[in-house]
Amino acid sequence: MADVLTLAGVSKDFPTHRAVDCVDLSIPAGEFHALVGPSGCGKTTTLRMVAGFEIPTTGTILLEGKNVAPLPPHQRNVSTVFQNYALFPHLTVRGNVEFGLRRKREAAPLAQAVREVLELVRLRGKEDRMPHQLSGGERQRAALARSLALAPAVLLLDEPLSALDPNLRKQVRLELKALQRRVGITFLMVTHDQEEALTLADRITVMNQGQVEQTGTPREIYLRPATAFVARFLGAMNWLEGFGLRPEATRIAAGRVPEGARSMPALVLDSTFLGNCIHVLAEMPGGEKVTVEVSRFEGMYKPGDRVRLWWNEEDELRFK
Amino acid sequence: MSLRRWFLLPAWLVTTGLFWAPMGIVLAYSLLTRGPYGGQSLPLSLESYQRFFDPLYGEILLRSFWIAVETTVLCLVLGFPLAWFISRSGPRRGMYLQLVMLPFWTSFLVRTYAWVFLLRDTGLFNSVLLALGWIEQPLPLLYNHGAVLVGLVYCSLPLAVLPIYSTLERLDYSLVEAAADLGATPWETFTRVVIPVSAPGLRTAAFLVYVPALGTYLTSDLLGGGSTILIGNLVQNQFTTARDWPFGAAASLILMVVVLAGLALVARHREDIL
Repeated sequence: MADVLTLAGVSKDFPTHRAVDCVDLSIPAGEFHALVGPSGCGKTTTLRMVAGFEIPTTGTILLEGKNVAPLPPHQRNVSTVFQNYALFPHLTVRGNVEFGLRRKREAAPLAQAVREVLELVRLRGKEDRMPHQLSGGERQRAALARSLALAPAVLLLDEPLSALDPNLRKQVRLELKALQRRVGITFLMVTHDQEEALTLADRITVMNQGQVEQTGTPREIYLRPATAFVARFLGAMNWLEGFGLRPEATRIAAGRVPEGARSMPALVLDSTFLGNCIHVLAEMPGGEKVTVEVSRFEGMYKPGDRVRLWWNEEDELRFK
Repeated sequence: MSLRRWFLLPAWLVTTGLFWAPMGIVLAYSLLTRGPYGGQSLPLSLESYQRFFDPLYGEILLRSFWIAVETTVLCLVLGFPLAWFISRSGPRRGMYLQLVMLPFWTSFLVRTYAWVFLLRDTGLFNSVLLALGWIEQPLPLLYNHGAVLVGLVYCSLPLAVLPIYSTLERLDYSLVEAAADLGATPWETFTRVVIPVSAPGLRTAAFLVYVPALGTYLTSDLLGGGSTILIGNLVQNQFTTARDWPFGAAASLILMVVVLAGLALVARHREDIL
């Protein structure tokens, strides 16, 4: 598949600091791509440069093969779903959806296009509501409809789920993914929520201090993180002498350990029941504290228990 | 009576004593007849109101209305960009707002007189233009409609800027970005998003400028000369030189009806007015 969006050497300087530092990114058509990182890592600035709200200091942004870096937002075939949705408060749902469409089409297909896109996000029947009369989830879907109606080459989503309450978030997450599959539009989403990125995205780009740390599928990023930062940012990590180990790859045994596994003695400090699993905190002879994720079927460990921790060599994560 | 009602008492006393009672007196005077040497006496009559329907007074009323509309439009057109600039200027907003308020620290009379010195034949503008050789004769800048308009706009502008600023300051800037994002040009974003969203502030600004401008008499007196008598001057004249209080009272009540009608027409929501 051809890349619909390519960022090459894109940097953005603000008066006080460099927000984005020489970012390269290629996104094939139809991909759901997530930009993740801690706050201030430059992910939002990167998104805003693709949208046209910020002009890069250097670098090119190729959208469908054309450099759009210097173009204003209204001359780019991308559309943004804002964190607070930014629905026009003086317009109905229909008015909001028609806002961008109106410039493109005539009256009859316009009404049909509005109907179709509202069908897509399950907002039929709410056409004449004002934004303040919608629930949080409905507002989010209205914002999606407004952007999708334009059939953009890339749909940009800025923390699209962060304004929803946590119970709703998981459900909307599934809907968002299904929607993306159905419309086939390329999604570029910014999020600070690692779980959101892992579950939604086809590929993830992890950013830190304005730079790209790693780009890859959720599996690659989680199982083969390129840097210690990526390992720490996506998922928990135990640090042993010279390498890292995921808590679920760290195993515990009261007596003998399996043949061929690497192991060390440890002292149980604490055990926390989390419902679906148990986190056992143990101390190694060198003083490193390690969290072990244990299934509740694997038995109980109490503070003061002397145990052996073991793992498979291929689960060791080593970084420069 | 509950304690809460007692809190209303001072405001109630002030409103009754200083608004309703005088209004009643004005109404009563407007229905009396002018005495032969000024003063007023019975019988009651509607004569003062009938007299107002003279085309001469109709022209004055129309002129007052027109100059108030012009002032309002100019204040909105000039005030909006200024309010926008202030609302987007970050930590310096406070300082700019102080500058907008600064004229209020000086007497209204002094500020209006200052315009006489600027606009008269030997004033600053004419002196500069003459010195530059751009004109041969001083331009007639003072004592006409334009001078009154300038004076009114100058005095009312802060009243327009403040309410517009307060809505723009609360305007969610992502709405502007969303409009651009959806393909709107800057002009379309302005007319289709910024103006509708800030309409309450614009309406408040319009009221705050329009109502005092309609009743103005000092500005037109000082800058307008004889050719631009407004309804405020008419009322003032009746109570002073003409000594015809019933007619003055009738004219001021008619002015009030015009103002209230204008408000009722434009105010869609009561909360917009203030």
